[in-house]
Order: sequence, then C-alpha cells, then structure tokens
Amino acid sequence: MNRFLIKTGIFLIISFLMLWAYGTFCEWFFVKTSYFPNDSRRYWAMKQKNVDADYVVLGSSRAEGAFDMQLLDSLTHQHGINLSSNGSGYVDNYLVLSKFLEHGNQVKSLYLQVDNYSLDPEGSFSNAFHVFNFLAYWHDPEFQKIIAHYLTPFQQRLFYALPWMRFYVYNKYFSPVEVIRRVKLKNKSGAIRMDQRLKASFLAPSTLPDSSRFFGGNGTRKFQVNAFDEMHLKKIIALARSKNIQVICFTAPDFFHQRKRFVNYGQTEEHLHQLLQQESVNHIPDLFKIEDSKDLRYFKDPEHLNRFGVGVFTQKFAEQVNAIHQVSK
Amino acid sequence: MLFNSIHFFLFLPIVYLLYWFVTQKNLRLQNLLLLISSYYFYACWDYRFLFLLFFSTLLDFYSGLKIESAKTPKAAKQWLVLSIGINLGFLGLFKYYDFFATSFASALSDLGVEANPVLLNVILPVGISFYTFHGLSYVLDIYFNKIKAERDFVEYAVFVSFFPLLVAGPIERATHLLPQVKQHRKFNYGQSVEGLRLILWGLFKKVVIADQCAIFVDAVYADYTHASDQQLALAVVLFSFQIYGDFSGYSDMATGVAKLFGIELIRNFNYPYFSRSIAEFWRRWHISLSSWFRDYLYIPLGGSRVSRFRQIRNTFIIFLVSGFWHGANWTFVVWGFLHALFIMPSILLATNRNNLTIVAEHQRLPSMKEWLQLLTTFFLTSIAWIFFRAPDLNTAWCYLHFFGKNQGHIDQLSAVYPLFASLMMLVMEWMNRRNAVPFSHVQHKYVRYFLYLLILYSIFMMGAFINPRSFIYFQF
Repeated sequence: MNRFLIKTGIFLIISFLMLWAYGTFCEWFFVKTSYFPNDSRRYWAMKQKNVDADYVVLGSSRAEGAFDMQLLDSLTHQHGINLSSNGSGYVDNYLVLSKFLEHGNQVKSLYLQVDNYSLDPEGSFSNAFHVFNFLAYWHDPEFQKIIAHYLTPFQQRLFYALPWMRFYVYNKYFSPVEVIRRVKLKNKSGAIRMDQRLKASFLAPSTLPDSSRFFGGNGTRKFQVNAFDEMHLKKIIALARSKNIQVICFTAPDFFHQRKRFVNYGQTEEHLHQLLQQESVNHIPDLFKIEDSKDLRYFKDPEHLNRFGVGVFTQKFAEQVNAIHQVSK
Repeated sequence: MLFNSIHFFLFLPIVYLLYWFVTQKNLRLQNLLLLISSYYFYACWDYRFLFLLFFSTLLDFYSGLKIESAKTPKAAKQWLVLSIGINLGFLGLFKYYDFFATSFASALSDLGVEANPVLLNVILPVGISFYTFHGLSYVLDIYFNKIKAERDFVEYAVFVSFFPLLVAGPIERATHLLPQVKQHRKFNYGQSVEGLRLILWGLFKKVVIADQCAIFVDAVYADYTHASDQQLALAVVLFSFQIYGDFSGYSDMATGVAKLFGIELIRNFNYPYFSRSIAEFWRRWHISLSSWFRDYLYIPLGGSRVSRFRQIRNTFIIFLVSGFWHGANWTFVVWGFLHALFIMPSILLATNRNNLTIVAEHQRLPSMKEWLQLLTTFFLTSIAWIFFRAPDLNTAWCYLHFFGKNQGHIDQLSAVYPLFASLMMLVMEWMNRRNAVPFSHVQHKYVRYFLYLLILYSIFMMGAFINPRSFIYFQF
C-alpha cells in the first residue's frame, strides 16, 4: 500500500512540476504584446501604439465587416481604423478600447456599433464575453472586476491559488501549437493588415446567397437585455468622453426576416434608443430602407453585409457622418 | 458528477483513503462507505431520483427473498413477474411512455384521427437502464437457481449502486459482483496499478479522442446540408471513434476505479474495431449488454439451437430490443435492425462463431484478407452509427441522401487533429490488443512512465475543464 501511494505521489509530483513548468512559460509568453497574434483584430487593436486617427470604429463582426474603410476615408476626408472584432460584445469592446487608449493612441471620433444583438450577446448571438481573450491582462484591475462577473467562485479561487492553471482551463487557446503559431506570426509582422481595405468593385453579385440561411430560422426568439453589457455600453461612452472623443453610434443593417424572428425586436430597439437619448449621443439608425433590408443582394448572411452591401452602406454612412460633423462645426 | 470533472477527482481520493485507511478492517463499514459514496455520487446527478434507485433496490432484494422462499413454483413465478413488471414498468414510464404516446398519436393522425396524448415530459433518471438490468439479472438468476438470495441489504445495495458502474455500466451480474462485495477485500498492488492505468487510458479516450471528435461531428450533423462530401464522410468515421472513445473510455475508467477498491468488473470492450466480422464485433462491443441479452433473452427464446427460421427471428428480436434499450427513438431501432441485417450472412452460413481469437494473434500486422475484413466491418458499423447519432430518422436519411450531392463546405472545421489522435489510439490499442490492461505491451518501465506523462499532459491540454462534456451513454 505504502509503495503504491509513494509511487503514485511521485508520479503526481512530477506531473505537477511538468504542468507548472508549461503554465509558467505561458504566463511569460502569452502576456507579451509582441506575441499577440497578428491575425486577430482584437489582439492587433490592443497592441497598437501612438496611432493618430480621426476616428475608430468599434463593435462586433457586424461593424467589422460593415465598412469599406478606404471608401469611408475618402468620403469623409478623414483617416480611421476599425477596431471591431468578430464575436465581441460591449464588455469586450470596452476592454479593447481602454487598452487602445492606454497606449498613447489619439482619436477624435468613435463610431460605435449599437444594436439589439449586442445588448443580449449570449442569447441572441455568439458574442458572449470570453475570459481567455484577455488573459494577458489578468493583473489589470479593470479586467479583475469583469472576470469576477464571469468566473465561478471555484475558478476564481483556483486561479488565485495557481495562476498558471488558467492556461490549462482555457487550454484550447494556449496549447504548444498556439505558441508555435504565434512565434511564426511574429516573424510575419506587418504582413497582415488589420485596417485592411476591401477592394471590391461593389457590383451587385450575380448569384444570390443561399436563401436557406436567411429563411430557415428555427422558431421565435426573445432578446433579454443583459444589464452587465448595458453597463459596459455606458462605460464605453463615458471612457470616450473622458478622452474628449466624440461618440457617434450607428446600427449596421440586418436582414428584415431576421428581425421578425425576435418577438421583442421593436421593444428592445426602443429601449436602446432611450438609453442613447439619456446618454445624449448621436445615433445613426439602420440606414437601409425596409425594401433594402429584404434584398438578398446586400447580405452574406442574415446579420452581415456582403461586399456589395458594404459599399452601399459605407456611402450612406459617410453622408450621415459628414452631416453630423457639419453641425458640430 | 462526471468521471472527467474536477469534482470527481476530489471525491475519489477522499473515498479511497477512507476505504483503505479508516474502514479497512471492517467489511460492513467498507460496504456502508461504498453505499453512502454511491448514493452521494448519484445524488450529484439528481437527488430526486435517489428514491427510485432505493425503491428498485428494495423491490429486487425483497423479491429475491420471496422467490427463494416460495413454496410452489407458481408463487416464485408470481414474485418474479411482479419484480420484472415493476422494474420494466418504471423503465417504460420514464424512458418509453412519451415515445409510445407520440408515436401512437402520430399513427392515428396518419389515419385521419386527431389525438392529443397526455405526455409526462419527465426527465430520464440517469442510469435507470443500467441499474434496472442489474436488478433483473439478480431476480432471474435466483429464479433459475443460479444463485442464492442475498440476505444482507447493504451488500445487495452496493451490488446495485456501486458508483463506478451506477450510471453507465458495465451491466454486472450478481454471480460475478456479489461474491466480491461479500468478501473481505485486500489491497493488491498490481490490481491498483492496473486500475490507475485504466483510468488514465479511459480519460485519454474520453477527453482527447471522443471530445475532440465530437467538435467536428457535432458541427457537421448540425449543418450537414452545407457540408462537403468529404466532411460528411469524415464525420461518419469520426463518430465511430467518438462513440468508442466515449463509451469504452467510461468503461475503462469504471473498471479502473473499481480495481482501486479491490473489485473486478466485467470487461465491457475488447478492441471492437479490430473485428473481422459483425459477429465478432458484437463479442467485443458492450460485452456486458450483449451477454445480458444473450443469457436472458436469446437463449430463453431458443438461441441458435432451433430451426433456421427461429434463429433468424431470435437474432432480429435481440438486435431490435438491444437498439430500443438505447433509447426511445426509431433511430436506435433502425440501428439495431441494420446490425441484425449485417450479421445475417454469418448466421446463415454458420460462420458467426469464427474469429474467436484476436486478429493477427501471432503476427505484427494483419494479412490482406484480414485488412479487408477489418475495413468492411468498420465500414458497416460506421454506416449504422449514422442512425445512432442522428436525432431522428429523417435526419439520418437526409444525411445519407446528401452524400455525393453536397456542394458546400463548412468553414473553419478541421478534422486533422481528431483523425491524428484517433490514429494514435488505434496504434496503441493494436500493439496492446493481446492484453486487457492498457500499456501492458510496453516492457520498459521508463518508456511506460514517459507514455503516462505524455498522456496526462495531452489530457490537460485537451480536456474541457469548464463545461466537461457528458458521456453519451449517460442518456441511456
């Protein structure tokens, strides 16, 4: 019995040391901004330094893919960058913006994507906040406040007792394969441009997208406004204002049929409208007319525009922004 | 409480230490500890069904005593029928009632009669199919004079609810497990080491093989109309590895945990994907269930010592019932039917008792003929798994229908990793195919330790620690 327990104990200690060694390496490697992967817009945004931009766009994938940035720059006679990233809600956006502003970057205007989906990121979309995206900022007090909301008490205790364990709990994103990938990406620095400009000719697509994705919804759904996300929407606005950044909110178009799937779409939209009124920010609502929202030529899926739709939306958006800037002057 | 959860890895050492250090000298105390731990283990799933488990245990315990003490065969039969009736009644109520009610209403609707069946909508008590079969085998064995009725309720309750096998088997027999429960257990070094090896290998199969394959398989089945032909085919292959990794992984862990407590369980899997025929596959897959149906259904029906027609009928019955045992869905019935169909040639040609030894027993690799047999068996079982995996028959038919017709492709879905990991598992199991305990083929102890560390590390790197995936067979 003793022999068994001693040998098992030794094996467990060796295993523990092995896990500790890799976990400690992760603590060193994954927090280095130089190893932030260049192919992720979220990480790219957080490591930008000394950027001087007239505007930044912030939001989810609906904002990430809503603009032809080159066209928007030329139509507004400004220079901007898009900090939006796939699968991000307001909590995510808040952290990205705060990190971006911490690094000496100068911005005059913030074009903030607001919509019903982002108010209910877990229920309506796949925009739930993911702790693993920000593990590099583990010691950041702002991040600590946020994770207290998302981690279970057991996880919190575990991560405080054995900080390196967090890299095993979120092992999918911090494997040795990911280490190699990031090292390779570092060497390709600059090759991947996150402020990429779409170079489409914006001709209407000759074939329509697969309509089953647009009409094949399964039953009705309901938005449930998440108070924590709503609070972070307000925090984004407050943060921008504290840095004298003008906030202009906008809503990217979605396919009309998609709206009908949510039984309280209008109600939630009204809630959002009132919230923005309280915050006294400019809001450019969905610029597509009803008939445009029903037109499959503009969309690649029910929530995202295709290149043709992007061209049309960017032009309409530039007109509105120019008008707002005119009034501001 | 899942075997692959942090909760279990805290629970197990506590029970283990109490078992060997506090209660070791007193068998009754040891059994009481096992019983309390097992009920706690079950309560972590759903404490509301503890009563059902307790009632089922009490019923079979009492029925066993009554059957044994019955003065006439008729009285014994009455107690047997009562026990089977109530056990199957519970199973039917919780598992099959809603299915039959909706199927009946649907059939009436096809005939133009509208029916609104009363549905129970109750959740299925976890492990009910397993512990019900434990109890049934016990009363049947007493009735057929194979064993004596147990007179100690605690010992009988441990046999029914022993936590490693409580929720997903192996389905134990009283003749095998009860004597071990009644006997004083001594710590055995070799047995404990085997137990740890089985736990490690089982965890690897669950976490690194099954859970990783599941990511690909789930994505393809959820959107099979947009998947490419290659993705559809890969999902079929990977599901074969997923279900094997999931269920045999669980069985390995259950067997390993039981070994730590000095108890040997029935071997449930014997490298089924190294089978040269469907008949051999069924001697190697879910052995405890197949042997249960063989002993308590197939043989009482006459087995193979009857006319050819009745043998065929018996084979179909056993496979259809076995399919239906898995769940209240026509998909499982079709799955069973397909296996009955696939096994028919060997029944008709009387070759079903061929291949009783392991493939390439004295060679390193199989011959060309054996390769062909192995691949054919794997292909047939994989086709049948489509029905097992699909949520309904329509999905299964459509899935098959889409082969060769799909133009799409699901983006950001890679099968490289799960295929590689599955291949590694097959290689390891191939090398170890002559042994029941993993790593037995590795003679050099430092190589073995290195493998342990490598596997442990891969578990840590692949395991889902936040929301561990449940085992597929828990739903049955």
